Amino acid sequence: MNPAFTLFMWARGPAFDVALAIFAAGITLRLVEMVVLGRKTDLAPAKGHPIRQGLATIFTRSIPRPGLVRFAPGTYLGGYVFHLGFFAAFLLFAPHIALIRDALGLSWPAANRAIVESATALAVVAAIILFFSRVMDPVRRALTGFEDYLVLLLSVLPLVTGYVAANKLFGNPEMMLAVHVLSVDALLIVFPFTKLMHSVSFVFSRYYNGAIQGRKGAES
Amino acid sequence: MTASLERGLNALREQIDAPVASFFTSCVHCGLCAEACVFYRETEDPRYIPIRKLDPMRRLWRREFTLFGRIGAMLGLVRPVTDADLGEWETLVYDSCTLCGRCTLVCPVGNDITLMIRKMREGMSAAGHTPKELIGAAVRHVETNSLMGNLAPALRAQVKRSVAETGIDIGFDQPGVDYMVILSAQETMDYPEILSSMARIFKKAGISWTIASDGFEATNVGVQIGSRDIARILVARVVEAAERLGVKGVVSPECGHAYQALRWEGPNLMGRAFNFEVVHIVELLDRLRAEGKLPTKGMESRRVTFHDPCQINRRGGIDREPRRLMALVASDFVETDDAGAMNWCCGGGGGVGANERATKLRLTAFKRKKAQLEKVNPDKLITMCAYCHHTIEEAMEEYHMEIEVQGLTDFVATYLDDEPAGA
Repeated sequence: MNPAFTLFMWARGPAFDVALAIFAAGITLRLVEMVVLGRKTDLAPAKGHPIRQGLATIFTRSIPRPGLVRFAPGTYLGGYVFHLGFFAAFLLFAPHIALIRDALGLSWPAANRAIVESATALAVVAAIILFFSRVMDPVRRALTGFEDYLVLLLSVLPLVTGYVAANKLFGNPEMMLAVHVLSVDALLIVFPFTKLMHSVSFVFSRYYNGAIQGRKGAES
Repeated sequence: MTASLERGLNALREQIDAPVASFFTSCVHCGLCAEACVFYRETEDPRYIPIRKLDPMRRLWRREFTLFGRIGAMLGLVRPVTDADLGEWETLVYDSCTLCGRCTLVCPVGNDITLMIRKMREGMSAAGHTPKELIGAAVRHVETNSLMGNLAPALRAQVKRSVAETGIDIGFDQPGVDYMVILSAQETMDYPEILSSMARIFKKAGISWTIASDGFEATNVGVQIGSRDIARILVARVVEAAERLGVKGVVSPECGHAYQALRWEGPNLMGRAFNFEVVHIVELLDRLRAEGKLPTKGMESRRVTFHDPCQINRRGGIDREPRRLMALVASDFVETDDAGAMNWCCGGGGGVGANERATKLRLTAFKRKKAQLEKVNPDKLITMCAYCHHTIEEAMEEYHMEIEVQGLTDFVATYLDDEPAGA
């Protein structure tokens, strides 16, 4: 049997199932150990609307404060483009939508191939900018450790391998597809153990921030 | 040493709750909090990155509050927090943070970094890593009636002077009046004109008020040092006096952390809601304005700007009230860049101003305020915190800046129309 095909079937079969199980169980564990710590009832009478503002802040915090972007343009721009590009490539590419439809029964229209590929390329460029800001910029460098580079690498691999596989740029296409799926498996596995958790926990942290400020009638 | 480290770690453990866990879980190490921090911005020293100031607390959380961190600790991958760590972090947590709250507003994942610094100070103080001036102030306040020592004679003298000046009586310990007024030590000692201003405004508005001889000090060094025990003892004096006198409300004065201490932390420190209202003097003035009980005559025609105290606006939610009052009495009012919720800190709050070894850093941080002011070039700066007032005046002295500074209540009172009718 074709070894590339065997690898591909393993990557999207048993390996993917294990990765998904670690991903789901890990996230559940991390969220449970966070939420069980609880939070004391605030006895100060509210001036504003804590719950409403907490919920609103989950969305409004996606927009930067005016005047700040120019102080860390690489981080802001790189961050936006990477997130948007990553999710466009993930969620708007027709074969991905077909996979999700088969698994969950949910589906939505795919984007034009050129849009998906541009988004992918832009996300990769953004990741390179983010990498260089971690190496060059003193603030980013002071905060960066092994995990940050690992997460950046593992987040960009599915984009690069997916692009190569979809365009049959080089190598055995089946092998490239297998590598692509393996990179996704790896991303799923490290997710609960690393700062990738922010893509779930941000809902909580933004809510708390908004609720704490909202109780006081202060901005958030 | 071990005993106090253990106490410190225990205090930190008590502070770790679901919000803190969500904040540490969400941090992506983007460093955008640094751009918001006045200490980082004016020094460009990466040690002052706000989230980095929490590193010991983050490590404790990882090691003890997450399963993966516990496994990592067993494998020796996550270092334990040592007394030396806390010692090293003391200057970061106390000297280079005024709890101003700008980082909390810019963090893309919504981390309330300022709240966590406030929490981390609980551990630092329990471990014995607190600036000596703050400890001194706490001891003085617990043993007497103010962080400056016994201020009762000085306050009585200031009240007597005010009564002579305005002819309006100010009574001590009067039960059943509308409001009990408390003052910050800074006002009692440096800006006593607030007494006459309040006396005139309240008389015109028909408000009765009193000062409690055993609960007049509004400041609360327990909140700055990070000691709930001390904070509770100090806030209890005000709460018990207000309850004993049966007042409708307590007027929190022009002091940032005093407002936090009584209005937002107070009920939580006491473990119960109060049966009186806590209102900031500027909220009260704005209410009187809306009710038509704050008639004014004339306006300041020179160029005036406003400084938002962090604890009152950004972390206190009082933003529009002062602006409505400014509109009443200033004809040439100009806002600085970043005014309002994103205003830059004076650099002296959160105990930094009292901390001698932080003086140089505080004056460096003030350069941001200086730049903000120079851009609008005002004749006068109005604020609503006596400690901002003091910090700004002192720093302007250092930088040879000639801008008059005045408290908002006093500024409004200057234009109060309280001439008797027909006079």
